[in-house]
Amino acid sequence: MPNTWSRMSERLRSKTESDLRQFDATLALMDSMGVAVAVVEPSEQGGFMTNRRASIDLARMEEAGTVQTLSRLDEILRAEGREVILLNGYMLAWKSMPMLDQEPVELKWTPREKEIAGWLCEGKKASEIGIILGLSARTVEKHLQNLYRKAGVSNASQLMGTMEGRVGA
Amino acid sequence: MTIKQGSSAQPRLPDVRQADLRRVNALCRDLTDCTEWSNLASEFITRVEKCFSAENLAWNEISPDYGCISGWEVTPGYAHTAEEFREPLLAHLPEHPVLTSVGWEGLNKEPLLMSQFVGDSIFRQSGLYREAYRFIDARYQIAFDLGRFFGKPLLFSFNRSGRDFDQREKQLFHLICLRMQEICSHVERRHVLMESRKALLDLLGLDGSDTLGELSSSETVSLAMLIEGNDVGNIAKERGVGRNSQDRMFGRIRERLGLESNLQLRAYFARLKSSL
Repeated sequence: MPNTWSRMSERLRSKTESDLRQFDATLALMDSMGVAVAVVEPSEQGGFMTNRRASIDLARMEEAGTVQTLSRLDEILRAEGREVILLNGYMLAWKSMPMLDQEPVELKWTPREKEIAGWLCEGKKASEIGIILGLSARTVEKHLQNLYRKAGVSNASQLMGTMEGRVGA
Repeated sequence: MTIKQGSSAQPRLPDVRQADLRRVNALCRDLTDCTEWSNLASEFITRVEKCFSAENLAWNEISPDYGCISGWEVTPGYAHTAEEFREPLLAHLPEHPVLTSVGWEGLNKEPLLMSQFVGDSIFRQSGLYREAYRFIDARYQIAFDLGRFFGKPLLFSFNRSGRDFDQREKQLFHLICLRMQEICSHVERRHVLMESRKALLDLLGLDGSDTLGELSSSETVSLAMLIEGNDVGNIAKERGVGRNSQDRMFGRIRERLGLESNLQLRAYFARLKSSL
């Protein structure tokens, strides 16, 4: 039974890899949402599948090498005062600490800039904000350029990441 | 992220015939798409008789401490008898000749036959025989421990009343068990990944049946990159696709969410992020 054995194993492996790709993508999505995720690896050895934020947090924990179970990881996170947002039989998700490249910066925004940033958070384009505020699109764009410069970002999406909870429309 | 794959080392089972192997592989092919543990057990039980002439077959889930059989699936012909004698079977299980001789550990190396450990006359004096097996009329049993799945050991057993198992049948049973070991491991991984993905999407308020539950992996990755602040051109470059293809992809996502621009898409997830 030479080749048939390995063909079946290969078939199973490729199916699992396809599931893993989809799951990896979901972990990346959670990463972009600021959520660290650790999922129990279903194997005899145990261990976790993690996204980038979770692996950074695990590395920060001194006990990382000894954390073997979700409940132990949960205990450590709660003891550190971290907010655990999901815990089930297979998975633990918690709010990640800000990434080093996304440390909040002290933003000195003018009232007009705050107003524009608020509308930006609502998904409005510069031209639409201009209509709402009675300004020209060019003026709004100029305000946005100033906002990007002050926040040290290069586009609207990055700006949104830096100003969560800072402005209201 | 990596995940350990099951062992794919080819076992030495010289007496198994090509026709047997083809039947076992056909059985396995049908089972590879299972995502639910309960489906796998019932599908296996329904189909395995095409590969192996067992009169009574049981898929036994053992409690984590090996204290008792916590659940079983049996072939239809065996179901009625097995249920009727469930209590005495479980009560006298510690008297099982294989278990008393080699313990549970001995069952995960190779399939073991009861007749390897005890003679007929002695076995007939045991409580296990008098209270249970006598009525089941399945004196000849072969068993194999497949390992732990979902935290519980899984044991396959085949019982027969008429005659014992020969070498070829023992190897065929071993082959089925090893194949099922891989399938079970695969189904467990799939189950964990799919359940976890669903729970994560639930967390974002987007359960599996909802819009984002239908996102492909490339769409999910693109979305993650957009949320992180990459512009569409960079995302396309990073993923090695054309700008137009990338634009169309985001167009499809926006359409599902009822949004009009990528800015609105980013704002949608920014709001979600702050609500977590």
